[in-house]
Amino acid sequence: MSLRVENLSYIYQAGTAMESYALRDISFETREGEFIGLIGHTGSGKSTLIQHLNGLIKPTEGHIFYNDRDIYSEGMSLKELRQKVGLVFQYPEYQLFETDVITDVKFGPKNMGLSDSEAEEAAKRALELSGIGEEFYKRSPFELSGGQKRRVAIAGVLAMDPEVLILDEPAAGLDPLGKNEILSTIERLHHERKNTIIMVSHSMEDVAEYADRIMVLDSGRLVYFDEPKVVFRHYEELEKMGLSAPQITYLMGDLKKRGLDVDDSIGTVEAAKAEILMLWKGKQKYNKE
Amino acid sequence: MLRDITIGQYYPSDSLIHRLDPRVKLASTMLFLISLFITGSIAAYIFAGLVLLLVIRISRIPVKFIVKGLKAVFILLLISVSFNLFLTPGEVIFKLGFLHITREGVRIAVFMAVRLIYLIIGSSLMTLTTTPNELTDGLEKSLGFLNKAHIPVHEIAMMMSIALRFIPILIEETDKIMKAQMARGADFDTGGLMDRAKAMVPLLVPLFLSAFRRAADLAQAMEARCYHGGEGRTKLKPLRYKRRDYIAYFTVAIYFIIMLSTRFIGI
Amino acid sequence: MKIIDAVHVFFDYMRRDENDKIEEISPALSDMNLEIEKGSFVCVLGHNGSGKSTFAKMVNGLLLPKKGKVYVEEMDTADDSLLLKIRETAGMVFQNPDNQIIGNIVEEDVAFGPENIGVPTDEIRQRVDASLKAVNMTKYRKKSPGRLSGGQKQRVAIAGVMAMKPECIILDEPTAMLDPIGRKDVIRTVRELNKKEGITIVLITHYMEEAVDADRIIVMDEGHVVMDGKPEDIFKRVEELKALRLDVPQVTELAYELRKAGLPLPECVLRREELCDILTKLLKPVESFKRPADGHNF
Repeated sequence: MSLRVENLSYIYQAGTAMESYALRDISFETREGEFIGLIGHTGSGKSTLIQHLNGLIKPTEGHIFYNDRDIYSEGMSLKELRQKVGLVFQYPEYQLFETDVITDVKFGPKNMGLSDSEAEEAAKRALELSGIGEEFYKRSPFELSGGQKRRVAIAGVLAMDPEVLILDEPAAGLDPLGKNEILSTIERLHHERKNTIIMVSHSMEDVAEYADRIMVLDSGRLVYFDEPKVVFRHYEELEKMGLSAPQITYLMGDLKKRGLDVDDSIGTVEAAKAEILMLWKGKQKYNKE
Repeated sequence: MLRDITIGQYYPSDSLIHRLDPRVKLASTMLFLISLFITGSIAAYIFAGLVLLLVIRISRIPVKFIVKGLKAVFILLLISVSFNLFLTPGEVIFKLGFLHITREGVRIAVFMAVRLIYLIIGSSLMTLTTTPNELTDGLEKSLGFLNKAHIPVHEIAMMMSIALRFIPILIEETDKIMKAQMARGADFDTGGLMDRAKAMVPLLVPLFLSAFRRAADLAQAMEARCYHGGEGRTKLKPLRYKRRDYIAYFTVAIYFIIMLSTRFIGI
Repeated sequence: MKIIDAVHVFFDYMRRDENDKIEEISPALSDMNLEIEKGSFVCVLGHNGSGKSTFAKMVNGLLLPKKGKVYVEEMDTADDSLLLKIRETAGMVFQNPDNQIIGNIVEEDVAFGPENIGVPTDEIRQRVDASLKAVNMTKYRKKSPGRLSGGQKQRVAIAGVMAMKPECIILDEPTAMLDPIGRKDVIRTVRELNKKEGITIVLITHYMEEAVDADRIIVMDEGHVVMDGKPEDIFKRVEELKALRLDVPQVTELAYELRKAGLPLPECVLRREELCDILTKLLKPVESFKRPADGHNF
């Protein structure tokens, strides 16, 4: 269950005067069951990259391997690949089309050739994982709230039982509660199913919380691919790319600049709290002595 | 393919043609199209072709760009040419199986092709040099007399303008929804006619819903900005004829008279 | 002086079946009362379905109260003859940048409002130029909106409202669909309009960071105002906010957590610099007070 990308480049409108690189010489490999956060500002090539991973876009140069097989080699079926590498687009609720929730979620499994009852089983499992209760199965997807619609749409991809799940900005445009629900659904999935997850996001705060590794794209190039701590340490470079580290990282950076002995690569409130409390306790102990 | 269509696209530049009043361009295009159908002589077509080239030159639109637009309608061109080529009765000059090519057929096919190409270039020249808004303004103003017949000219012009604005957005959206459904295993390319028609449902339903949602949003945004129909509306760029527009009218009239006369003098 | 005044406003959405019978009634506003001062910067928070957007549309006369009154500069929004004047006074910017740009060229879009209210041509030109300058989009005035980024499109939308010379702009989640750069641009623009031109701003948002610099924060729930106060008064009520399905800015949350753990911190900290100063004072090793290390004096 691994995805490997080798020297991938993609050129827009090749052969014309408008020719431009959307992706340039990208190579990486995912580890089994890891949670990857993919970050880059609008136009950095994030969406183009993820569409390569399940064969929706063909690279101009380079190769993509799924389980060590080139996805464009003889005998590889793109349809099968798309089942193994599930892709949830941005604002996925806009692709819902069926009259009720469960039929919509069955669309994927049925395309894979499952029988109606198998598809129904798969759909039910997926809906449960996404936190959509049975009372909604027969409702029209268009009557649900924004966050619910989105979870139904995610279930539509989950129902195909993918090994790798790619999500493009799954929390975009939701209110804080909707956002937390979606993100914790994804987190739960990751835990229960051990799927490899690639989550595209603008928000460093969200990525800091969940990702094992962070991939940063800038103008079509892969700039960083490392643990959050290591990536956040480059917060000044990130700033230049129009990105920013989590607010907390800046705070820790400021504290360090003022001579406090803190780790300036921390990206979550929890970790920052622990770090500062340690320092505080240390100082109190010192004061007593 | 969709991107190749230059009809309806605007090519930003600051040429004399771009600056002409849209009404002049509308009327000229109409006259040009009519002129293509009232003449039938080679000399007239050569003359019209030269005029067209001159206009392209003045408009500073690269010829390559215009040729690209022709590519999109190539199939249409091919079909109409072959119909004329093979189906016109007359003196047979070439035979291939059951297909006959006649002298008259060749003549008509060539004229047909030239006419079509001129027609497409002529009308795309208008849209390439006129922003959609100018175009609708021009239509609104020149068709204003229809208001008296209770035809809502302003509303129709507004609708056209909005449609033009949303075409690229909807094309992009179609592409996105198609890919999203493909990611769920949808197949748009194989199967019989029925299968393919059925396969369109997951594309068309979301597309229509999205179009309606956008329409509702837009209506609200227009209302919020005090839109209440054409009554009492002023313009940022009101149409006013300038000297160059009168000169253009005059020039087009001369062109038309020349084209017309070729028919009667029999050149 | 107040510019917006909502008095006991009620509103509900009705869904009808095919036979026009009422199938479902969902209340959107129930006894909403709110006054907004001229020239202020007010942020409205609340989860989806709390009634924020409905309220925004009331101010602009897009929706009318089922009960109660909404006044804009003392004009009753229910009075049809005042509708255009009200919309001129209180302009509106919506969430989706693509669905509110009407023109095919930036400056033509900005002109749309003034054209509708019959401003003379020369003046439209002046207003368009001034508005584009105010949102810093002058160099894009001849561009097609399709070529702009989300943040730029929203700034064009703001310019479109500015060209009507409004007293007040209501922005309904203008940053929800933008990336961080676009979001910052839009908020900076709005803040400048408030400071330099004295325009009253009502900003509806989900991003708590955007609310930190507001003069006043309104929190809505179940169709009416449940909290109303200065940012530091609102954000210190962390538990309450969370119960209302809202967040607090990360810095505020950290300060709140540390205070809970026993650090002597003020009740509410909103800004990074502020927390940094306090923590430095608190945690700096004792000896460094004698010889400041790198030029910082405390």
